Amino acid sequence: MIPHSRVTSQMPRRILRTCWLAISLLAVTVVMAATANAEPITLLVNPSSLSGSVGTTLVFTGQITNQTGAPLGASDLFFNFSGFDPAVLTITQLVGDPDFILPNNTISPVVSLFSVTIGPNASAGTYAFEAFLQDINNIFSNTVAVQVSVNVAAVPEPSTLVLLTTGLTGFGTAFLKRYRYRREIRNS
Amino acid sequence: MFALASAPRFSTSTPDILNSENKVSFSLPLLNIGDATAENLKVTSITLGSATRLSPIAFPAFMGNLGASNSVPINASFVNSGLNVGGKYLITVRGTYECGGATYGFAINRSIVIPASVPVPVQLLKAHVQLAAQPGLWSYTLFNDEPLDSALFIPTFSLGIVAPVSVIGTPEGWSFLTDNATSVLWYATDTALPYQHHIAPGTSLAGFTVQSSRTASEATGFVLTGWDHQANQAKLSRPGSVLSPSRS
Repeated sequence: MIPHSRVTSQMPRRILRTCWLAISLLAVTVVMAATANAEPITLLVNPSSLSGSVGTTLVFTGQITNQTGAPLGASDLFFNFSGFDPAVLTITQLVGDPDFILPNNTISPVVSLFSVTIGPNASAGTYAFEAFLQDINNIFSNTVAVQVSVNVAAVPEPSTLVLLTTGLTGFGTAFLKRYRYRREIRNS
Repeated sequence: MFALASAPRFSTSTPDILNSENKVSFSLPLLNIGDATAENLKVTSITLGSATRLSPIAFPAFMGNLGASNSVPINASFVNSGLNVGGKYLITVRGTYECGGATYGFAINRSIVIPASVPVPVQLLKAHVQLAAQPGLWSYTLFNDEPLDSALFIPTFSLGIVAPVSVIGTPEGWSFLTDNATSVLWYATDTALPYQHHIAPGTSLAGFTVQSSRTASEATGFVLTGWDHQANQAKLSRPGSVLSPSRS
């Protein structure tokens, strides 16, 4: 027969241990469930929004997670883009050159994913498109919404330029007259 | 401009690749995996690494409407010089489509491994078509590239068209049939040997001309047929693409 005092002091510890085991088991189950439901290929574009001016090329970087069950070659990953203004943006895949191997259950280092060139006739504004990856076995990644903000340098109105030039000329002329007058006074 | 909530999305599947006759040809399935039709789909460029493109000979290539869950083949060929057997090269297809009244761009990528070169799987007539275009006029010259001792002559030239045309040029001894909308068939009128108006090996024949109000051109298909003068029967043909009046 176990002494009553021994029973009462060990019980909280046992309860705690049981609770801890239950919580751990639950946590592992949650993680496994989350992992099982994750995309086989996860695309992270970070940042997913960049700004540039007309004629510039922006490079989008990010990371790729491989959970396909097998190693993945970067040159066996293909980008698909859609929904953009073709008169403004030209999008070019960069990932895959140079090539690298991404083992299963691995996140790649930060790599250059694709570039976006802003066309010469782009107006200021924000342009969006979608991007996702597929591999050689036609497994798709998540779709990422990407934004490009186009900055156009403000050009003064012609009337403003005329006013500015006139004002500066007048200021300069007045200064010169005053300078000459003072010089004459000094010399006289 | 933002992408639509209900919109086309594009992907690819495994292409068929042929390395033959000094060129690499592929047929790459373009899939619409979105939930809306990609209307007036056009391909505006196709690249394979830095290889020189042989076909399509001009852009845009009109693909029509691509419904959700449908696919269309993107066919192209490139000079294989510089493409190493076993090497991996990236195909990039760019184009536009319409949805909801707006025009959007798409770009898809797929790498291929260049297979070993193989003999031509199907023997084709050695021939080609050359175009001389002027505003409103498209004039074709047919070339029979068969060796001089070949028995293969050319008796017909069929040209696919996508715009209303009038046939205003037909060489002597030839005639034509057309619906003025989808095709023109020129044919030699000889009915028996020696078929003096057939195009002989090593020679050419000009004067096949259509007129159209269109000001632009697009690539359409053609077929040249061969006639074996020794066996006195049809033998071989040569399909290809050439510029003709544009649909718009």
